[in-house]
Amino acid sequence: MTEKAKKPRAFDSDVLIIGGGFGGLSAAIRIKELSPETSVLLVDKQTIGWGGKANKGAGVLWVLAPGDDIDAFVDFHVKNIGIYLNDQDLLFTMAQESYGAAQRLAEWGVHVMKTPEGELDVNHLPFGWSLAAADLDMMQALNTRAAKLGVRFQDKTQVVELLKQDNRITGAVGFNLLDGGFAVFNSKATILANGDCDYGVMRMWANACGDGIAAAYNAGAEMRNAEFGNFYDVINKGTTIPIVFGFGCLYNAQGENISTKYIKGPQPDIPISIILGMEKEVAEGRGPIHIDMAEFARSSGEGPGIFRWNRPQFKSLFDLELGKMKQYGPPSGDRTEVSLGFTGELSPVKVDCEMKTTLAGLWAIGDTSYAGSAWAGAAEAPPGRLRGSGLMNALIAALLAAPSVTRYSKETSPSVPDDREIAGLKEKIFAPLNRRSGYAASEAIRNIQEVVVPVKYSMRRSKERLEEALSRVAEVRERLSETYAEDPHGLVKCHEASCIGLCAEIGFRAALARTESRGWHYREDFPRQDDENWLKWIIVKKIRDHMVVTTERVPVERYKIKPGGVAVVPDAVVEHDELVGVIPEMIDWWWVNMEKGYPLWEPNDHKSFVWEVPPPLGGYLGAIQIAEEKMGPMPPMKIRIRWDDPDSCPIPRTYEHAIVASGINPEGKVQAMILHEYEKSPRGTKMRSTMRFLGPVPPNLPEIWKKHDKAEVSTFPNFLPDLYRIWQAVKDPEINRQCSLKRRKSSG
Amino acid sequence: MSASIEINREECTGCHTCVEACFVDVMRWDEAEERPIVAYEKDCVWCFTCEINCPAECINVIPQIPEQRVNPY
Repeated sequence: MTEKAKKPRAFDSDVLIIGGGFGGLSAAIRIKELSPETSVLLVDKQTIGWGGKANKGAGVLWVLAPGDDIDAFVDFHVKNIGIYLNDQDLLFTMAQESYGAAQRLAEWGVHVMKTPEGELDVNHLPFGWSLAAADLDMMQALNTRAAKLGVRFQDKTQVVELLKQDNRITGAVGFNLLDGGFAVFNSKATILANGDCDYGVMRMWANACGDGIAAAYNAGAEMRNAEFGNFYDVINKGTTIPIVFGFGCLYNAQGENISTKYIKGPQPDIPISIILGMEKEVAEGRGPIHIDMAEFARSSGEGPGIFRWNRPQFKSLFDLELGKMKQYGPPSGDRTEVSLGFTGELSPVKVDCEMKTTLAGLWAIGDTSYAGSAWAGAAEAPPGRLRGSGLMNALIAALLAAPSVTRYSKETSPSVPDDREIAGLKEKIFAPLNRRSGYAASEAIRNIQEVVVPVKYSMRRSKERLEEALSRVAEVRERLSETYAEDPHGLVKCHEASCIGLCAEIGFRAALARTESRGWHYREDFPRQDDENWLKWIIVKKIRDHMVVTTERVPVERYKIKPGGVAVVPDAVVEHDELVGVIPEMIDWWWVNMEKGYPLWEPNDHKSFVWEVPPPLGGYLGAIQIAEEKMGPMPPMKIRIRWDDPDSCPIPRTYEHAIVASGINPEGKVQAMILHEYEKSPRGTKMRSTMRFLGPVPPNLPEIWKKHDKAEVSTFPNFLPDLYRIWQAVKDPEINRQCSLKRRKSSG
Repeated sequence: MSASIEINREECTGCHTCVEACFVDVMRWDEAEERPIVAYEKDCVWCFTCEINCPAECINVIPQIPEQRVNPY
């Protein structure tokens, strides 16, 4: 340990912001605007104004511009991107604030693209939102603004751990990269703005190693939506540069268009299906995958349109990179080989609508809490299937946090540093410098990448593979105590390796817990979306040195957009007596031939039957019947029932044969659904019927239906074997319809 | 990830921009010479931020392509 490291350098401030990227600078500026007397210190492991991701991306800002419909956007997002895991209040706020936030950025001196009339020059995208843009010198503009407002900067200082007293965050500790000096930060309020975890895989995001996530987790903050930290994009295999929006022009080695094969309908951004599809093509020997660059050039108008604005800085960087690739990269042509570029983007620090974490005195903004804030729901956030939302999320999060942080810092007294705690942390932080050999940090990072990058662990997930991944991560993490460093630069790598290892475990544990598929999370062993059990957020938290996974219910009842198929009262379930002498194939036949014996099915209650839409040849889906029947004390009524697909039904099933009877109103809206499921038993068939009510339910209806259903099904042995046998004489499938309802058992 | 970084020290004006611009701590400052030094070249991720922001245009970053990435399949 150096002499300087022995003497800590103390920094006091009302507000400490860790991470001097786009979000951190925006928060600093806003706090100073709200309260010039509040002292704000920004700290970054590199140089404030140059770090972070903002000046290394496309510079686009997602906005809801005049003419875009915010309600329609929220509806689209919840149903198609966030898949009901959104914090819908925050989603609405993000959309509502976005345009004004972009204008504010211009007021701060950033070169935001404008029309000659002075309005934001936006690109309206086909899905109902827009993109504004800024040039890549935005960071310097923010830097200048923050400095003018009196924000203090501390560069080249890696923050490793947070300080905590009485369950409140009171600052942080770290070290200086240039001289190895120990740094102690005392603050009333602390904001984490140091990015997400990209596992050191993608070049431009090399600094995003989850430093803030790890510090928050270690201090006891909750994590949320960590299972959605598994972003892949299509990349040029030779140069590893992402081909953003290139997912629509992909071909396998046989020349087959795999984009149309795996992508259903227009997509706002890269869908999970093409990632799984690319992996499947390669696994089944139809790789490598190519992109048709000419087709991509023709279709790129559907993308973010990043060249429509006149942005000299962006253009210079783009041209420079292009030139370098021509000079040093592989030859490129119309057919360019592509691969899957894992990025990760684990951003799970849980925050509320003011970006407050679950720990007093601690806020998290930008990529540190993009998924954890839950506005993006089940999306890989960032980019969250909304390009340009990385910057906008960071900006709005900063604006939302600033008033709350300012208020808190004014109401809070400074704490007295706990010297014992600080001494312990200091020893731990500098320990790798005391070792001359052991486990190289670069090797540890590579070993974690070997687990997080493969699709089989991070995308095509299963219990078995996730457990294998966790076991491999655990092996690496056990060895992290052996990492060594020669100097402070190497010490940074040791701590980054540690953060990356922790983040990998958080992500895999959350993925293992979510036993369904939803949005950007796919489980091969649980391929269906399960609204019955999984309208929940997964929470990961450290409790007494253990990583504990729990769930928190999404308050859908309070939100405007509600999922279909969610029960309004408990399901009514009938477990039928064994149907002796009836085989499942007879019941399959019955559902598509009911007009042949409807009154026999329940001689007392059944009155008439007609197909409004007959079953299709060889199938059943979409058939609609009008059945007139009497249920218990209720008068006879005509019920309109449609046969639907059990695989699209939210009611879990366990038997091999299944059909869904959906009760629909004249507009085709489902009011209730019954899942009939059955399979072979020793003496015939075992069967279960489950009714789910989706609309208003008279209090006694579930019990009345249960009696009626039991009466119906219990008559099967009396007539069905005979009826089925007699009709075997008719071979015309148009008259004697045939249909098999046997399917793979549901895992859900 | 790595690259070769060439700095023409005769043309360099010692403005310090490249050291500030480097977000992965590859570039450090030589106090005695008052010039940048490429201290941790193996960590360069060829973001080209130093090169494009150099007012004297005296930096050339040569990327090592292809990167040795983990196979996703």
